[in-house]
Amino acid sequence: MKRILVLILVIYFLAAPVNATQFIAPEVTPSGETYMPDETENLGEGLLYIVKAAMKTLYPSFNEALRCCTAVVAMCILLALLSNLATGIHRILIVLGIVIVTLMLMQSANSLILLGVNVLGELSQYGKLLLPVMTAALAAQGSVTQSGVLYSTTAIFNTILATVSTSVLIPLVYILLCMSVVCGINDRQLLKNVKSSLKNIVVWGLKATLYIFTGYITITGVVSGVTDKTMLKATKLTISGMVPVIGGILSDASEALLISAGVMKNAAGIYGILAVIAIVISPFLRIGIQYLMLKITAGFCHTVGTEQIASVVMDFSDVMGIILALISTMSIILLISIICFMRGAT
Amino acid sequence: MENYYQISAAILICALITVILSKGSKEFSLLFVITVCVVVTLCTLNYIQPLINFFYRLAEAGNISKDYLAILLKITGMSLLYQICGTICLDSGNRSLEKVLQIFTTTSILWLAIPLLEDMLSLITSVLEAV
Repeated sequence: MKRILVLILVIYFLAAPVNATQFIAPEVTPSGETYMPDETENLGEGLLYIVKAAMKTLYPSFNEALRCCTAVVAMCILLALLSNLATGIHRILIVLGIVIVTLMLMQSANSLILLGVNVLGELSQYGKLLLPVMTAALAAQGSVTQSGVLYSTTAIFNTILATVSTSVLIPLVYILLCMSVVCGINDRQLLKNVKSSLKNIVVWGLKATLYIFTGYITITGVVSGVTDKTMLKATKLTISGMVPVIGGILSDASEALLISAGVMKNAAGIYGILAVIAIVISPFLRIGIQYLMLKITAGFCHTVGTEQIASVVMDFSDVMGIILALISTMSIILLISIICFMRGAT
Repeated sequence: MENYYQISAAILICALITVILSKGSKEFSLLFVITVCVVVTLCTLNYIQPLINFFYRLAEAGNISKDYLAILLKITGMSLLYQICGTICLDSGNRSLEKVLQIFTTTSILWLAIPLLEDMLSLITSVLEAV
């Protein structure tokens, strides 16, 4: 009897405490809540819901962009007529026209740039909340090295891009707009070269960031993935070989545990993908529509004969393109990393 | 534009009369030219009013500020007046008067454009502050 009691006590003290762990993706930000589907198990259905919800907001954005572009077109027609009426002051009229068009476009451009900055901030914040969950889920599935590498890479790129965007690229975009107005007023080749160089710096910087991130994540993913798979295989063999009688059962049980962790990780991943798209879709469409409408307006200004104003409008459109590229780069980095986390140890 | 041909013909006749008058008295010739110019400009006003109305309708359709349009129209009007007065000055041989008028017109146009330029300046300042 005494021995049995001692045995029970020894078993009680040796037993390790076990807790069930859940990996749940963080709630989507308030701006993305409108577009987030209630059911997030199916990626295809979720995407369809988001696209349908975003399409409903398309008309007001289109209307807003159309109003802005109509004003620019009306201004161009007016200037073309007045220039023909008073040939002596053609240059002054064009300069004043550029000033008026800038005043008209700057208001909407500024609000869209700020919208872009807000989206970048939201994406960065959401990434900071989602990535630790995905990392823990991937580590629970056995990919300890890969999860660490993926987390650190994405977090570094995420932080760098968010910081560089708000402190360097956005001011550069404003400088680009000012340069565009100056180039419209003063038709100097040097100024045009500086302006196009600024534009190229921003575009190439974003492209390089995406290439480096994709390249780095591919290489490190392959290397650390192989290491984790080898470690996992070795652990399973050790358990089944070292523990007598129940080694095989324990090995199979650990397999079931890993699969369960994988299921939870994928659910969190799908929610994360949908959340990122829900955050991005509305601003992306708004800025995209403005971008396209400005391109059409610039073409119309060219046909009316106000080339300088067309060039200014084209630059505003390019700026919208840069903001689109910024949002796309940030969201693609997040989406790639989520997909890498989901692929993980499979 | 029913009286366009009549006015054109009248101007040609006036040109002929001016040539004849200038042989006798250059002062009378100049006075005659100024009178004709004023009369023709007053006739043109009839056609300018519908044009201005159209510009305002265009601005309204395009949601352009009426203040901006008023500035542009005033500048165009000043330019047209300068073209008439400057040419009269040149015809009478007063190049310096035409130059002074040009400087005065340019300065006046810039003075008229000050509200626009101020708006632009405040926009740039607010953008720079936001950055």
